[in-house]
Amino acid sequence: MESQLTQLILAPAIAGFLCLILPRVKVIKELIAGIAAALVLYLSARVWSADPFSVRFFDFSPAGIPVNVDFVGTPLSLMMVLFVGLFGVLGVVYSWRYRRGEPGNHLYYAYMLWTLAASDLALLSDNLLFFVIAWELSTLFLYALVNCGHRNRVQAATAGYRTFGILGFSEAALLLGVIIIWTQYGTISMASLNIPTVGWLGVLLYLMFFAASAAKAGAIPLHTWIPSAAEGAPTSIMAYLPASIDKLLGIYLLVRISTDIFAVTAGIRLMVMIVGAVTILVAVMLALVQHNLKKLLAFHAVSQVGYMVLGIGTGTAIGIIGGLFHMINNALYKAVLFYGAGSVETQAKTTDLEKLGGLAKFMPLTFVSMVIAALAISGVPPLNGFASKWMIYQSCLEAGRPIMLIAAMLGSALTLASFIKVIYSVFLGQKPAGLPAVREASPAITLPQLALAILCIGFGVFAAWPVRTFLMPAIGKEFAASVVGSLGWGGTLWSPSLATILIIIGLAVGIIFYLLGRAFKPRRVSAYYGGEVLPKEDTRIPGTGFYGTIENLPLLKTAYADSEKGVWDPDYFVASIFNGIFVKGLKYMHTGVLSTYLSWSIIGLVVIIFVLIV
Amino acid sequence: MNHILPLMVGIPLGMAVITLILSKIHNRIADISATATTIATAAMSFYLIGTGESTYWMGGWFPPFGITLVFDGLSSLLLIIVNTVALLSVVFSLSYMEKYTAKPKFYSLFLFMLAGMNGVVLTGDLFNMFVFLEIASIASYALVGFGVEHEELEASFKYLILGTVASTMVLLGVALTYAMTGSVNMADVSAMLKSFPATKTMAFAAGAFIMGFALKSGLVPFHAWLPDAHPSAPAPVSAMLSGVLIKAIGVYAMVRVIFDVLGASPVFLEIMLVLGALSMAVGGFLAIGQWNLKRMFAYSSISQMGYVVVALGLGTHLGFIAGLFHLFNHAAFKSLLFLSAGSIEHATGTRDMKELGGLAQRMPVTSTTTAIGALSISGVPPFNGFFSKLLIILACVAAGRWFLAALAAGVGVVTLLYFLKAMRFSLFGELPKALSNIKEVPFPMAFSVIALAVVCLAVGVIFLVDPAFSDIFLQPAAEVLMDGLKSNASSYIASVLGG
Repeated sequence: MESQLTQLILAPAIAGFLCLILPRVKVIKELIAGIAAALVLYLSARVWSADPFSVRFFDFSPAGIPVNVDFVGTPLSLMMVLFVGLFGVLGVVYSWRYRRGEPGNHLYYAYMLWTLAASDLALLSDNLLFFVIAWELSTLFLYALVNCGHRNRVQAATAGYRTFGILGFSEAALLLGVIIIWTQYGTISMASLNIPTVGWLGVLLYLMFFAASAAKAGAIPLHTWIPSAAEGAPTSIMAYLPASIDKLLGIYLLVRISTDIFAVTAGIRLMVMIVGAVTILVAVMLALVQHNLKKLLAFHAVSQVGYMVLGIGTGTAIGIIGGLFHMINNALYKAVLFYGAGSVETQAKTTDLEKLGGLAKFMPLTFVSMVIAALAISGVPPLNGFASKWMIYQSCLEAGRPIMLIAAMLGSALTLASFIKVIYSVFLGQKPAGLPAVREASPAITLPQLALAILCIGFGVFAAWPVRTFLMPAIGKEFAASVVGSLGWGGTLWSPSLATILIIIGLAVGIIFYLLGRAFKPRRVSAYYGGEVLPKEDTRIPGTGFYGTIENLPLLKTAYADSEKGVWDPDYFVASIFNGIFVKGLKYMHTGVLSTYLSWSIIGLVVIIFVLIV
Repeated sequence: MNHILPLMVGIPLGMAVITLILSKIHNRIADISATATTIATAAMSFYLIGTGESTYWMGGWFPPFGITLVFDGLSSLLLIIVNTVALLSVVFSLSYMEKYTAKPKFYSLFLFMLAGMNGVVLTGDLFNMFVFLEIASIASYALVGFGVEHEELEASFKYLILGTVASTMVLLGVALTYAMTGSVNMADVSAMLKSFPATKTMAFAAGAFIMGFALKSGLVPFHAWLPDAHPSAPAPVSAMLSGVLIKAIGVYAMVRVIFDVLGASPVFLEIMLVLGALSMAVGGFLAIGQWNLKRMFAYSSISQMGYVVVALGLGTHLGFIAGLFHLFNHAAFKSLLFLSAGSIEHATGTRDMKELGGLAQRMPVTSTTTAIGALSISGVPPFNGFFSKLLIILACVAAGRWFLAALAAGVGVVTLLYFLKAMRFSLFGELPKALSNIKEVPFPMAFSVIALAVVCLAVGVIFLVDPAFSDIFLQPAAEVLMDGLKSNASSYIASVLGG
């Protein structure tokens, strides 16, 4: 077991170094990255299928403080490791095509592989200090990867700044929390901690950990780095880190702190649920009015985190399973959506919804897979998004918070509304005149995309399989059994058979109507205006106007306008206050006049001597 | 009697003069002799590791009458830092200083400064400490104004005035101490102060000492000269000033006088905590608002010195380890940052972040080292700064100083933010049109920054996996400070005066 673990961490780390130092000949880096990612997936599967274990790597004592470095494979962390491996392979395979011929690929693949090593290290270490180090390393590599964006360097640089700024803030809180636990409880082994969240210290510690997990996963109010990153980072990275691996890490920490590191009270649970519900609604409202495809998807990435946080916040077995399931599902369909957006960007050279349209004819595979993913994210049965959302709805009821259920369902409806706009604006309607000739993306991109889309259907129709195989063992057999026991399996996990039949019937009826329509050929005439035939371009209806009404509602209008300027972004908000009070104030005091500086020194001297003598 | 100790001071002092004379034969000789001198002192500082405590009586005059040089764990740590950074700065200067005239004069002043610092670190005599302090300071005033442009001279003048006030205060402290005890030997004074009750005169002397050394270390509210002086100097001098000078003649001297002469009473520690906390916060907030790369680094030095002084002021063993480790690390990454800023200025001709950008595309080496320095100082693992900040926060919490722990963590975020800003606007983003022809810097400059970047990474990793690092470098120095906490006769007195 020990050797497998070592290999799991070392293989991607060494492969990353190889990518960095080997001569930059043609495909060597791609090859190494591919082999390493496949190896990681293989090793992850081996480790996952083995029994839970605990391995002590080394004891050491920097500065006289004893630290035991244990690697513990709990069922939960092993499941996460497995999925990290899976997303690693997907990310590398997608990058082959997406990043072909771009400068700096040796760094790009090295960081990608090191991210795998750091994530696995974080998931497996029982020692909180090592956990924090690995966690921060993954942030560091994310920062480096965001800065690998070559298409719009300025946005990439800003995105990197913001990403590291917000994550760094949350990590400082996490580190402080770990240090306080170290001194107060005398141990930083996760397994031996069970801190009650009563009293100010317990609550504060929980909040510090919660901030870190929320920032990594992207829950409000620490979400703002995700939309920023979407504008600047390479799309392959958006799908790889913020949409998949960072979610895994963030949700992993959230589950750990909500189930075993802390003994959580009902008040804390309610707080977490509120954060989840607010995240769902606010982010989806913002997504609704976006005009940039990548940014819109980023807001949905935030909104979906709300479901996971909500489900885990309920503290019920069904909620936690639902939250984890939703995390996996989200990574699947979000990957399809981001890959699709990347293909659209590569082909059409823009992700501005107003400039796109009518691409379905030219990119049928991308279109089909994105429609499936869009339906999945909107929670349309029988797709996977629905299966996990259904469990989260159940958990809201079980926790006795029907209002959360309403928020979650409203969020789903708004998500659907937003994706109707996306599908229409990008793929339907007429192709605008300004768009270059568009071709289907290469099979290296469309095939994995279709495979993931099929997986979205599979995880929905046969939802019981992933839940039984991956998730129920992950949260512990006894705990999971309460799902079956208390509610009855049939009621909790949505039974797809009847609905699937109904949907198939519905589709069949639709097809019949469509064929009937085709049978009687309608008469087509050009549009006339004032006796002139209108050019085709003028009859085009862009999809961005669909929700113009919402954008212009009295109260929302100012809110949207402010949010576009960043006024509601907490980091902007805090930064402007600090800037105004401290930075400007202190700069104002530093006039450069020598006599002022001299008088400070003398005053300082007088105060010191006064303190010493009196 | 350890005969290497006088050489640590004597060689650079002598070579400062000889270099100037030899350069009349050929300019290149100055390069060689300065490099050779710093290699020699650096080698000796490493040779001295682990040799234990030793003393040297100048001219054979035994204490308390003659001047004594004292070598212990704390001096050892400082000597290594000072002489290593000096060596790398000289190597960097080989190419960098080409654009200035009078390169031999630069080396001469540089070696005077080095001799002064080594002297302060080694001396066991209060008045002698003042003399070396002045040698180092006066050389540094001249070096700050070395460019003789308007800006440099103004900075040098401010530094000169405030620095002289500080030196005067130190001299006043020495005079009062001599008046009260009749001795200027540090161990002798310490032994006498322990035997008779505290007087107001001694308290006044202590205040003068603390203010003088606090100004030299750039602690708030005595910091105002630093953000002018450090950026104005040529890059290798900035690296020396921010990297080691404020530590050797500032923090080290303060700590040595407080712990080994005056005796570390709680009120002194409390003053250190307040000064440190103020510096940490004020320096950090001022750094955020800067657009001049070197000026930002200078404010950051104030903030980081605050961390060191806070950790040392906690008065716990963990605090000493943490503070000394951070002192060591700060020397590595701050000199790295200043040298990298020098490289950037050398290539682009500017240090204004608004005119920079996208350097990562054209200067891969400098960009990587700058990023490593920035990440180290921001406390990002696996670089060294993470571990020392971790220990500092840990020491604060362990000592029950919750507010300081939160402040240290908060200023850590602020540090991260301004270094992200520095990277965002200088290394990443779009390369301005005006800079499209820039080239990577020549080998000696690249060598120095790469060496320091390797130190930043290696020390972090080694500290984590190998306790020997802490045992060899940090523990002996921390023991010296622990010794200073004792109220009865300390081993410092015993080792100097022979029991």
